[in-house]
Amino acid sequence: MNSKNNLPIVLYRYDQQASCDEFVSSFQDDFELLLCVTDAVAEAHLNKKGRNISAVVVDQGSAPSSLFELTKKLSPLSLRMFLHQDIGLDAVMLLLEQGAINKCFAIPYDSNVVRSEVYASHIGVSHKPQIVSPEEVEVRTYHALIVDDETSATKYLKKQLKDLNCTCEILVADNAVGALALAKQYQLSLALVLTDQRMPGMLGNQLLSQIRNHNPDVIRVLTSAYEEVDVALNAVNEGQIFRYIRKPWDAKEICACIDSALTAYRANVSQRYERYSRVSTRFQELISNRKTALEKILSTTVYAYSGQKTLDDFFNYLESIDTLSPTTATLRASEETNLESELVHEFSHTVLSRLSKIPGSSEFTVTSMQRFYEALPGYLSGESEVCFLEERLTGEQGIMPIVAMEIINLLKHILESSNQRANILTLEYLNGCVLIKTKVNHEIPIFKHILSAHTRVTQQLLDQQCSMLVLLLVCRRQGGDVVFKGGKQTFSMTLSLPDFQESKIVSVDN
Amino acid sequence: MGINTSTRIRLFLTMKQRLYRDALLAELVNQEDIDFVGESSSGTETLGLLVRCSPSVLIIEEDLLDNDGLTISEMALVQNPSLTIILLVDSDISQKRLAIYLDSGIKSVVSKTQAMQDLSKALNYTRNGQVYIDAEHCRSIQGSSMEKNKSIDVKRYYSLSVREQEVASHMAERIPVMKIAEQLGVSHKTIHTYKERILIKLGFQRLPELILFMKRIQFHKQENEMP
Repeated sequence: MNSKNNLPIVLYRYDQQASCDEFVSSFQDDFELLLCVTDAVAEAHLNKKGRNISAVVVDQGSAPSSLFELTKKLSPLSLRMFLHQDIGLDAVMLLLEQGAINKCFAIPYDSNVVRSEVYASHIGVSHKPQIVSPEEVEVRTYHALIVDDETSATKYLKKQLKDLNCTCEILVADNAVGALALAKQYQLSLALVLTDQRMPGMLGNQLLSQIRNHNPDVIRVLTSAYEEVDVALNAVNEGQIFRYIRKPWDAKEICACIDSALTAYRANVSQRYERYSRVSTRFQELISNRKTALEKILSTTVYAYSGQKTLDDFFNYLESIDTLSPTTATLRASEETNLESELVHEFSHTVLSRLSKIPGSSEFTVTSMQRFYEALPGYLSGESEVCFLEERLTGEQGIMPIVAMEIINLLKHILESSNQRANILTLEYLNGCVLIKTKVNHEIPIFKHILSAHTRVTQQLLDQQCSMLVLLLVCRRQGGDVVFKGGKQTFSMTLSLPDFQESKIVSVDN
Repeated sequence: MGINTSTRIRLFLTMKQRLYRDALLAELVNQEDIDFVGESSSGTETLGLLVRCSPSVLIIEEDLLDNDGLTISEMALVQNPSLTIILLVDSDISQKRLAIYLDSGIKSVVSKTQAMQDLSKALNYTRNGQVYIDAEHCRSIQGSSMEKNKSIDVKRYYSLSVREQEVASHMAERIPVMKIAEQLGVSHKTIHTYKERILIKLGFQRLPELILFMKRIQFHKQENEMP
């Protein structure tokens, strides 16, 4: 993206030549290295290459905060990594407070991990949770949750914080189960979780990890009476914590921490709202363009085939289905790859090619329709495979009704692409119509459709979506119809065809 | 940094073809820290089973008979955001596509052209929910995947000392340790030390992996008439 051979540019600041040799031998095939033995050289590189630098790696006795500060200013998206030897807890706490580093690994480092982190930064993996549909609520009181099994200590801290006019209302839990329940209950107003590391049942860092999954914006603080540098470092490297606080607690320190955590929490929420709003606005534009492009290619043929605005109806049916929401990843796929043109081209091409195989003149005759209706129950109950059906549909003259076979094939594609079998459909004869319907509570699962967000174009999606449109067209042409009704990641289907036998009302339940 | 390996992996595997699924499972269930909790060949079935089996890691193939691995992964993450997902793709993918996959919440992408150790590595490094990108995805080694793999294997082989290469080839012929010691005129303890070092250097856990590796090196040597 930004250097020769598209390798990530890594600025490496070192003191010892031996460390540098080791680093070079580990990564010379992977990175374009800028080796800096002094801060002045490093700063010159930063000033010159700035945002093109994927990572700044400092391999020195102590972490020079000025270099990390400069990186934050000139290249905020660059990874800031510190390779340390026997770092103390005070230093880790300071680095956290300064927000100076993203990663901190002990020497000897695992080169696979260092490489992976640099690559992730280079290709722009955001590490941000993909929850993009925040609930719009006005929060009047924010909450901070303190978790520790020493109940007398938490009770006292809660009182002290109240006396200090803490900006958040304090919630207390004496174990992880209680904490998780409170985190769920106060999901929309919980700004901070402060937990002791050593608790019976679940460790503090494990608890924070679980809470993060469901409350992605919540600010997490770990606290311990022990010098647990490894725990603190792991929490930093796993993107878990905002601060690490030593016990015994100082109420003033905790109060100040809650204040700054609340500011950070509000910033997280607002960023997520912005991100969501940006993604959804842009996605609406993309879908509108996609629809226009599909209409441009398909509308004439579709109108000529069924004589109706079937394409509009089809789009409306799809839009009634609640599919997976767009995310930054799907937006990236639409904007940075040829996904949009591929989707439009492949879908239109497949629909047109399928329609061309069903000539307009190909219509049901009374005889072929009778054979079709006779064969249907066997197919729908799962007794007849499609190949046997073909035999059954082929009459004495050896001519198989193309339309009948096509309807069966289209149904098969729709079902198989959702891992469903024909026995979820039911057959009814009602008021001069033959109805093929999805059974109650057997709706067809669908997570994406032609008008939803995608990360790639798949054959399964094309098969299913083209089959739905062509089935609608074929049925309408034969004087019938198909209605797709959307649900939450599901849809039900009612296919109707005129009954040439004009049968009395019979219900065939499979 | 050492990976925190204290948590056991609860593995669920979704692959459409039974034979490949069996082969992969046979390798993975051998690893001590992996509990195999479920399997499936289809996407929608996987989603149903994930709720019941509550795995910590899902390995899923990109192309399934219904839906695709990526869509199912996105759905699975909506259901359980803490699930670690490793996506198996048919062939190498571009950096841009890799970034999109990882941005959608996948923790690692392994191509079916890669070696088994690469999948094991991905499992190990993602076990605590971290993203892991393999060197294979970003290094610009020229040539086909097959050639890439061969060149990596040869490089690894020559990272062994001459004596280690010798011991490795005897071990690959399934010659007992005592006999190797006798042939090389050293103690069996020394051979055990060599054995341990060879496995560590090559990243193997068991003898069958070494046997397969040495067979491939042998074929490569024959093709290239190397000593």
